[in-house]
Amino acid sequence: MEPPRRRNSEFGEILDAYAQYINLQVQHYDLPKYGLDPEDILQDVRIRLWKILSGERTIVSPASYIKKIVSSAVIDQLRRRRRENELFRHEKQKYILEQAVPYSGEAIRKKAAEEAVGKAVGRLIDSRRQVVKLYLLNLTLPEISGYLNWSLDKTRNLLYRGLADLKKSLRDLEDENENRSS
Amino acid sequence: MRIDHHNLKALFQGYVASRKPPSRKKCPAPGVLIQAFEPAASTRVKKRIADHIAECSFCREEFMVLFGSRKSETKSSQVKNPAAPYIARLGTAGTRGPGRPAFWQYAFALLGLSLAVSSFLFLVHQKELSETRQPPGTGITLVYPRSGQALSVPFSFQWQGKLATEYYILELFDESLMPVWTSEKILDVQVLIPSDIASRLIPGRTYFWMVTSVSPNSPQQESKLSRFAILPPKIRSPD
Repeated sequence: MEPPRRRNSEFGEILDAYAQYINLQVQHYDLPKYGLDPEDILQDVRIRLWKILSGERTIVSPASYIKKIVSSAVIDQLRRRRRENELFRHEKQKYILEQAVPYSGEAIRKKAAEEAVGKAVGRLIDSRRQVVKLYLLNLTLPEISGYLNWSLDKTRNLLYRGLADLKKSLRDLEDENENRSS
Repeated sequence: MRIDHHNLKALFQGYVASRKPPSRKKCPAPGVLIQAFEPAASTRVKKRIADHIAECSFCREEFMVLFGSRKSETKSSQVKNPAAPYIARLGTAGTRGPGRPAFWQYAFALLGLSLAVSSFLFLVHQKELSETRQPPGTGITLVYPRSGQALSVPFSFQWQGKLATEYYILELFDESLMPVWTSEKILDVQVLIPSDIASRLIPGRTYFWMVTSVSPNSPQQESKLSRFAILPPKIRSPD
């Protein structure tokens, strides 16, 4: 078993050597945009590192390990913040519902259209579905192909076919609704 | 309903924003979400995450946060790793213990790089072969314009057909895959680009084309998408 003093010095050594790297990793997240304080994340990362080292575990590849620690600290903070906001949101929603006028026709139509698109996307065949979903969530073709580890041509082909299927499915649904109403 | 890409995106994002599961028991753990961005992660995991974020606005937000950081990281990948001296002192991959000679690190890096380059060249070569040497009868092979070719207007599209095809439909798309032209039924295996379409093609831009074969007794077959670029018009000399 390593003496605590040695673990302390190792912890200090890693923090010194990787301070700039950790800061850089945290900066990549643009945390203020999500209402998170970078200092909270840095503190969380330090605690996690200390726990690892004091648990006698060896960090095999510090750079990639730190990257993972930063990522999971950010996700945990996001989830924690969301839980804290939940109560406030619930109260706010209750107030809005009390004040709100009944749904307008336009809002109902928009909601129905959103549901129709969401369901139609869910019915696409497997390989095309994920590409279309990511595209509709504003990812670009190179970003989708990078995430899925597919060639740009394959991704483009699947996206094109998926979007064509989606449009056809929505047109069919529209025709069906028109026939029903006429 | 207007079915253009912009409207589809807005509607789908509205749909996803409304999907808030009552509990997060079925959500992937942070580690799984992070893992999905690793190049070595399986496609099954990546696809599962892509499916899940369309049904859970909480996970979608987290996915986008991670995605944003990876994007920003790629942009600044040129920044020198400040911990490099420490890693060198620790040895390869930062393991504890005596450092290994730098020579082997460079040799392995060089070997890895040459393997990666040769694999890439091999794949590109295979892809070109598969696009041009596909035997007739097994599918549609696009012949002209060749993949990646730059050419001037007017030109004819040519392809190798499929046996027992009743007719073909040719589709032309712009860079963002928006349709530019869809042909009428084509009975031949070539077609001259109509002058009104040719005049709309912008020099320097990339376009994509594909052919679909329609047969009475078998399902439709589609060619691959092939890209080409339009060259600027040639300037004629005054005489």
